[in-house]
Amino acid sequence: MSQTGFPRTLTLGSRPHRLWQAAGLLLALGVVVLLPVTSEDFRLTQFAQLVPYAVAVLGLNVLTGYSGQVSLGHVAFFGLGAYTSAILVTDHGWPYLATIPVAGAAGLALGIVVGIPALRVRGLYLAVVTLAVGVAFPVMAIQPFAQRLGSGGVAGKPVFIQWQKPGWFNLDVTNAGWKFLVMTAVAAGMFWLATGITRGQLGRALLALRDNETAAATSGAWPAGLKTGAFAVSSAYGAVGGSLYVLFTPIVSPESLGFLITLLFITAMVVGGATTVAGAWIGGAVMVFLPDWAGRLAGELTLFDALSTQPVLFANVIFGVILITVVFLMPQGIAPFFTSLRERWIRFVPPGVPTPHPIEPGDGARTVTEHDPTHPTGDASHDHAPTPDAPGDPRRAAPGGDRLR
Amino acid sequence: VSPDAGNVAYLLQLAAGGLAAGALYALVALAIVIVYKTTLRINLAQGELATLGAFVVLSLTSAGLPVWVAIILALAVSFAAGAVLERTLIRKLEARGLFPVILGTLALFLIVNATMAIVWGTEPRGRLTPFPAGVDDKIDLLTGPPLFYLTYGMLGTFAVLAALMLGTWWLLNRTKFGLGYRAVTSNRDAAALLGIPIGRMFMLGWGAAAAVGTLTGVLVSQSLGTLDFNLMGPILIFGLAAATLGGFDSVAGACVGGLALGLLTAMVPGLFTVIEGDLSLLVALAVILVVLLLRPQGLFGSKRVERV
Repeated sequence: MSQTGFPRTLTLGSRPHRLWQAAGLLLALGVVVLLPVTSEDFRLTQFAQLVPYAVAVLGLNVLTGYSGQVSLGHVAFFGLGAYTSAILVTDHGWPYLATIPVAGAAGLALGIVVGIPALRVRGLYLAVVTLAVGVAFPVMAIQPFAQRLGSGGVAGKPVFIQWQKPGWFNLDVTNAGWKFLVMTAVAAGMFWLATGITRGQLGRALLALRDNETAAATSGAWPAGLKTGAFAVSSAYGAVGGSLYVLFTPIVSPESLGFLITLLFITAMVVGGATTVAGAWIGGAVMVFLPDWAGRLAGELTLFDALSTQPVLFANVIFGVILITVVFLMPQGIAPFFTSLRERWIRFVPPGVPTPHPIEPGDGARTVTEHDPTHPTGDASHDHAPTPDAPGDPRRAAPGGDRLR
Repeated sequence: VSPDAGNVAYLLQLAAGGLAAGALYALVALAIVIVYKTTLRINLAQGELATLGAFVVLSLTSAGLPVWVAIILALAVSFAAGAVLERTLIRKLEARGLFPVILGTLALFLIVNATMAIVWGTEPRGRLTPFPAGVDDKIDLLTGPPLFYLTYGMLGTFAVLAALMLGTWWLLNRTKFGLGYRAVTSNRDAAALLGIPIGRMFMLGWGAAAAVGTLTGVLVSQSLGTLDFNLMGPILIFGLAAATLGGFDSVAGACVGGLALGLLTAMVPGLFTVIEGDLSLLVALAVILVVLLLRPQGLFGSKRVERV
């Protein structure tokens, strides 16, 4: 069939699709390498905060977007990872990179312990359990037993990681720039792993479980194992994010691990797009740059003193407003919006599917989300268009007919 | 084990302190239960709304009003605010499912928390004293050592809890409104078919919960001796633990669960001196986990049968 008009369709795994993928990866690589080369260290530090947040938010995406569970205690796992790395580096002299897998394993273990209740409880109860974990964590970190482990109490745990750029690395970057590149490489690995999880059989099983647990179980999915597994994986991502966090943050303090950070993680997840992998990057960027921008805006408002002295508060108000706005206006988040924009020009379809006829925007997403018990999210991170409906498909005849139930 | 474990006065004082804290947990749990019974949702911003109510009382008293007049005014305001909130925001989110409601209440948490800090400052303010709070405002019961006494603040908290429980019981079991409310909680659809205005019931439920929250905020401020914008942070966890223990849909369960949790969090560190530091949040977390694993519906809650 001739392909003259838009959108063009490419088969997944075909040569042109691979070329597109390679081009996208090269572009991302270019941006990452150019950042430390062109920007001074202050700007770089901001981007270096973005990366750990993005990894942690990605964990929430796997948990909430793909498995439909809610965690209000993500900061506990983030904090666990940060403390693990800080204590191992500062007190025990470990090389930093070796602490990342340990932090991840600690997050996985705590995730399994907390996630076991997910076998029995769901929805609100899991929210209650995780909320308690998240609120308890910073309080626990200052207790005597934690101080014996080396948490450093109220003052926090200092951690200084000084790296020299190795001699064989010829690019003109500072030592901080080298740290940034290593951090981004680790994060890229985590994202690659998450893409594999969510696109494969595991991801499909999780989505099926989220949309209809009974039907998924009948089809052979193991709800208890999958849910606990998703919770543990999400916790491990939180912990690795926390571990990366200490690379640029010289101190881990309980004060910086409050419930508010959990709320910001959740806002970032929803804004970026919960059922996406790429949305986590957007979420991380929102977490870093929104307070910055809000701070400047707050400086111009003179209504209350606290606004100019503590711009963080103003940023929190804006975070809350954005969260509500996104829930109402763009419940799928920002990333799916970009995907649908791209699909006007080019779309990717799995092999074995005849060239689709044009689909109305949002059509595919709607059919996916009709049974979604948690929130309406389209599955738009996957690099393929919704499979075109067969002629005579009842969904086509009566879009949204399921709402009547 | 603590060396004082055989001392009656020590034990009684420990228990009284625990019960007083537990009464506050019970009040938080009561507000959670009132919302949960009708809508099966939890208002995670409950604690922030309570703190906001306490700040309103603070502003009114510093404007010169007597504290109890200020409290009654604040109760009316928060009742209206809670009802309006349900009508305008929550009901719209409700139509979108469970997760949007959670997100909505979390957004409310962020907004209210930060707004309070902006308006009233981040520094702790002096405590609210609905009950006399001087050093001598207490009744000595056993001359120790150690002394066993009850402060007026403790007694007042117990009185408020008892009055609220009685009032709720009367409202639910002796009024037409209560009949409608109970009908909505037992079967929402059937109640709607019978002509009970379920929307109004939700609205009044949220209003009542907000009012109970304001009263709780004031009492917590007296009990903790401070008032700041993070007043209710940990207390909300204790309230949720109390509601889990008692059962999320049981008013009596909220009361018993709160008192039991208060007793537990006071007794465990008070009797076993091996425990260092403040582990009460860990106790609350353990209570939640144990209850959910052994008896998910709580002590007094009703089991929900789900149809597939």
